Amino acid sequence: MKIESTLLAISLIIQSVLAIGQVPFIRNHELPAQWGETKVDFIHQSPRGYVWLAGERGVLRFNGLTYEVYETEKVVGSVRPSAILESSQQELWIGFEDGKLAILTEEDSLVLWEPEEGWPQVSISDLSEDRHGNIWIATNGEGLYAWDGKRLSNFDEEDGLGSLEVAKLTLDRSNRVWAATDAGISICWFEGKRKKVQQLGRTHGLPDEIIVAVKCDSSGMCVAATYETGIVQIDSKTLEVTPLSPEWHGGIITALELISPDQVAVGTDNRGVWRYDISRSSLRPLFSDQLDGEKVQGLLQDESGVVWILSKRSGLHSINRHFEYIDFGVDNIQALVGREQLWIGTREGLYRWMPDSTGEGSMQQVITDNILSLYEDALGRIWAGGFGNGLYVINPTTLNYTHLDEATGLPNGSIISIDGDTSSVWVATLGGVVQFDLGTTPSGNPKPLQSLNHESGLETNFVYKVFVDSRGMVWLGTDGKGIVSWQEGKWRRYQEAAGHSVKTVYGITEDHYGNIWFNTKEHGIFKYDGQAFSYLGYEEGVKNHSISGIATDNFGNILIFHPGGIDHFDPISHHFIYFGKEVGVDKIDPSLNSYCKDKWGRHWIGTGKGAIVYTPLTDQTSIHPITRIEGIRANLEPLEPKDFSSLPYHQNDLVFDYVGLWYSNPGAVTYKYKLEGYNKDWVYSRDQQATYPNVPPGTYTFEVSSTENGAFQDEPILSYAFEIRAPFWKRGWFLIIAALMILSLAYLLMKLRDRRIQREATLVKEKLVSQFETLKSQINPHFLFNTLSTLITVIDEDQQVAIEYVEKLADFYRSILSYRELELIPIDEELKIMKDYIYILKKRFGENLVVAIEEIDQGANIIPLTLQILVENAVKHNVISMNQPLKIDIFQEEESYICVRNKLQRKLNPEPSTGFGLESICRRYDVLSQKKVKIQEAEHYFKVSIPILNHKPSKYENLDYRRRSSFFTQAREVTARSST
Amino acid sequence: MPYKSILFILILMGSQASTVDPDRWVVHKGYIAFTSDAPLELIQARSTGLKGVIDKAKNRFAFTIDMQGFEGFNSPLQREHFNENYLETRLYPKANFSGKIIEAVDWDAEGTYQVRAKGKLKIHGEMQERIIKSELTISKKAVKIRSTFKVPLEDHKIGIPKIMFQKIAEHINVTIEAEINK
Repeated sequence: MKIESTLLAISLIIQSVLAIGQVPFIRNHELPAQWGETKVDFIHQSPRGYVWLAGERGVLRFNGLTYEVYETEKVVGSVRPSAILESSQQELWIGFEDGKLAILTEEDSLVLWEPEEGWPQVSISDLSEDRHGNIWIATNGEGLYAWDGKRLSNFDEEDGLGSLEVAKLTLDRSNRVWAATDAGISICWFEGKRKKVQQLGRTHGLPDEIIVAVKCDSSGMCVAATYETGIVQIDSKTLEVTPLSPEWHGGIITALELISPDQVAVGTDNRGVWRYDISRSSLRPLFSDQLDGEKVQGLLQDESGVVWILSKRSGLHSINRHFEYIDFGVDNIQALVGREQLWIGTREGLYRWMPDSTGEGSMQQVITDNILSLYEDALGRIWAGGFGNGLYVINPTTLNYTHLDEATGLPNGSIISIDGDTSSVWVATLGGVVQFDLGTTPSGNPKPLQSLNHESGLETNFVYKVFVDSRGMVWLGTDGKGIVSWQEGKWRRYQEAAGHSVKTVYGITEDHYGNIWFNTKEHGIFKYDGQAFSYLGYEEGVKNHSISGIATDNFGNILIFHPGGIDHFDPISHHFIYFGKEVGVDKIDPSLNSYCKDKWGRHWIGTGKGAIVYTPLTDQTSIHPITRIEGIRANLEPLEPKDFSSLPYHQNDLVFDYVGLWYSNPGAVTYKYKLEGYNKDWVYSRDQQATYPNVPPGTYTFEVSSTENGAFQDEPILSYAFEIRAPFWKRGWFLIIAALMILSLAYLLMKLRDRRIQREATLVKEKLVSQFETLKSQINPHFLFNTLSTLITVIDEDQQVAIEYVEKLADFYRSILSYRELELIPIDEELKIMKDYIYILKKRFGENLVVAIEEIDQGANIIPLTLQILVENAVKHNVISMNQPLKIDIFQEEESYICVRNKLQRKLNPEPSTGFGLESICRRYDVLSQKKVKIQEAEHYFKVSIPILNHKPSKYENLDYRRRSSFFTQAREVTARSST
Repeated sequence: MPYKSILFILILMGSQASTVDPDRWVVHKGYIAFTSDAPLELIQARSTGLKGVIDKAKNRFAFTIDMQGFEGFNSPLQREHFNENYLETRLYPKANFSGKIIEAVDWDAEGTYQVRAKGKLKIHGEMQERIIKSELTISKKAVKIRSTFKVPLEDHKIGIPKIMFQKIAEHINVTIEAEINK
């Protein structure tokens, strides 16, 4: 085997192409329309994940897509907010240029903060909160203030503060506040109640006393920026100062942010934003072209790794630091390799890219042949596989190379893929795979050891990918013959995996757990754990099956390259993050396997004229959007948080506003939500709003979750429980009371009815008794005898009078008969009966009986025959003689009584009396009237007052008429019995 | 810093009559009053024993008060309690407040100004750093200082028997008035 070595002189480097620097994907965010031309100049990320901005007219809360505007003018006047801080209590502290402070409460109301100590009189430059909850207020001219919730304390020069001019604050790992001042850094904290200040100045190694910004991270590293002499690193424990950029040429510094443990972003007055790599001591522009001459006013890295840049003129920008793009200025990039230096294989040759310290670089052409594959071996040599023109093994220092082709032992001059380990290199040619011995020195010539091809058992000569795993096993992705593993002469071929046929395999990688992952031409991705295969297809979340490459990043995640972008897959959680249009990698169309990873863990993906550089971020903590409920409205009215948990029944048209904060791609966020207790199933939506009209009373839980990749797996669910109270008429206590009331009402009605029936019965009974009594007395033999005797006398004297007498008597009896059944009769009717009766009596007693009837109100009613019975009683029980004439007065008393009064001249032998008549009258009046019959017996007279009844109870009349016949019968019977 | 202020107070004590330094103004009329507004009892007391000095060049000040000099109270017994039980005025006969004025003050410009005095307030032997808002009225011949502030008893370890809490407020409202002849 003859190997030809060619010494290549440096002069052979034909061409040097200038490549432009790395450009990250940058977005510009328009400020809300109503904000007009107002600029914002302070940026802050709250513990809740919101990005807050402060500008001339107030503060803005940005969720990646929309702004919430809070104008401050109403509360503090037209003073500009100059610093903001959202505290752990979710209150937004706003510091103003005139030294005032205001708080935007959780309920979104802006209130002035008025401490007893008064406000600073100079502008507030920064705000910070320590882990004890103290709020630190930096001022331009009065030093630093600390608010412990009760008392405001001041740190000034006498307390050891470097200067009263404080620019920025940061909190270190030990809960101390670092203040960047005009005279160094002052580290302030409380020891108990005592103020402590540790001063850092030039004597400690600071290159300048004016410190514009300082920032500490959780590892204990702090970085401070001087005005124009660069940045320094400070160990927060030892306070050892290490200058980072001894020869600073970046201009006046205005802002600072730590964007990774190794990288610092530095904003300048007119030269954009730099990034400084601490371990590589390199200063490169992060964002400069578009910021031409603009002052950077704020820098912030949010939780998702997005860097926010606030510039004076062009406003808010965000940078996704995962991705950058480098234009190499060469066409048809086919392969990339390089741990420290980047080697680029193109159709026109092999180039070496040599970046300078600013991030710009130049291209150096090393070989002019078409280079299809590249590999850097364990000795640092570059293996470049050509397309028909053989293999070059290049010494990167001397650029000397060894060229191998079909004439010198290669089975085929077209090389598709190369891989290897510490002892050998495997080269996949179109004529099978050749194993080379690596040798021990870079200058040695690689020797071919053996070939794996169609004849030796591979069954094909076409291999797209050769991959040597961590155990030294060689994996071959063949064209149509599946994936083949080879180790020490043992073949294993897999043409079926997880129920799918495996034919053409394009890419192979190994994760940190030793699993082999490969992508196929026909289907998606397969994983082989040494025992079994599993499959990742569309259903599992793979976006695109035209996969051109697969790789593993330094954190063990699988990267999948395809024309639509790059998918990031966590093999443990099975969580996908998709990178596409929003980070500018949607039209990359990467060449097959033109990919490499450098020693800093960055992934280079060749595409067209340049490369995408993907930098996995170590500090990326959140892989899910942060879901927040922004507000709840009932009947279109926003609810106060205190009313959230319990709503009255009529506040039941509910609208929930929520957001999933995912600043790296806010447009990709989708949501699922449901109202537990109202609907069972999740609603999937892009809207940031859920509407529930007419929610009936009950207890509910609103649940919402957001995802940035369309798959809900372990995304946290935010839930909010509340109740809608039933209206009072549907609640237990009311129903019980209502039931009781109905029951008692029914009881009352029944009682009344009973009483009425009882009264009716009494009335009927009493009337019967009364009629009986009346009849009995009128037909009593005494009365008849007296009447008839009188009649005889009268007939004798005057026939005419006798006729009249009999007429009156008949009238009297007729009246008794016709009125006795009535309930009531008018008083004049009664008086008419009375007159007949008195006429009869007068004929008997003559002038010895005087009945005087006074004027009585017409229209009044009484029970029939009452007066007659009373007069009869008077006549019956009293002596009537010439010597003792009886006077009976009938008159009205107190408007509502008729009185019958007679002189009391009792008979010596009283007639037997039942007393039934008077008693019956009393009882009947009791039933019919509230007023009682009054009986008054004095020494000289006897008086009965009967109440006048005004009402006319007609219903009894009807009743009585119906029963009249039976009464007649009874009456007749009574009459018959009496007459016998 | 404490040494400085103690020294300052000593100077103040000794230099009542003779103002050697033209930058140093001595309060010629000082008045202090306090109110304890508790649910069950309102206690008021006052004293004209407020002494003070202002260094107009350095914007510094020192005030002191003889704690035994308070008059008023609702009963002689109360005064006795104040002196012996609560403030322990035999042990701590003086209260003082010294420090500097945060705002720059032009002592020649007539007018009324709101300023904040940052200093150390020592009552009952307990030192507390305070920022106290004050009103300065500068006229041609005089400077008037007026200030009201709260003193939480807890801050100065002034122990009140639990049962007295309804009679003595947790915060004592203090008013001071001082006049300086230029």
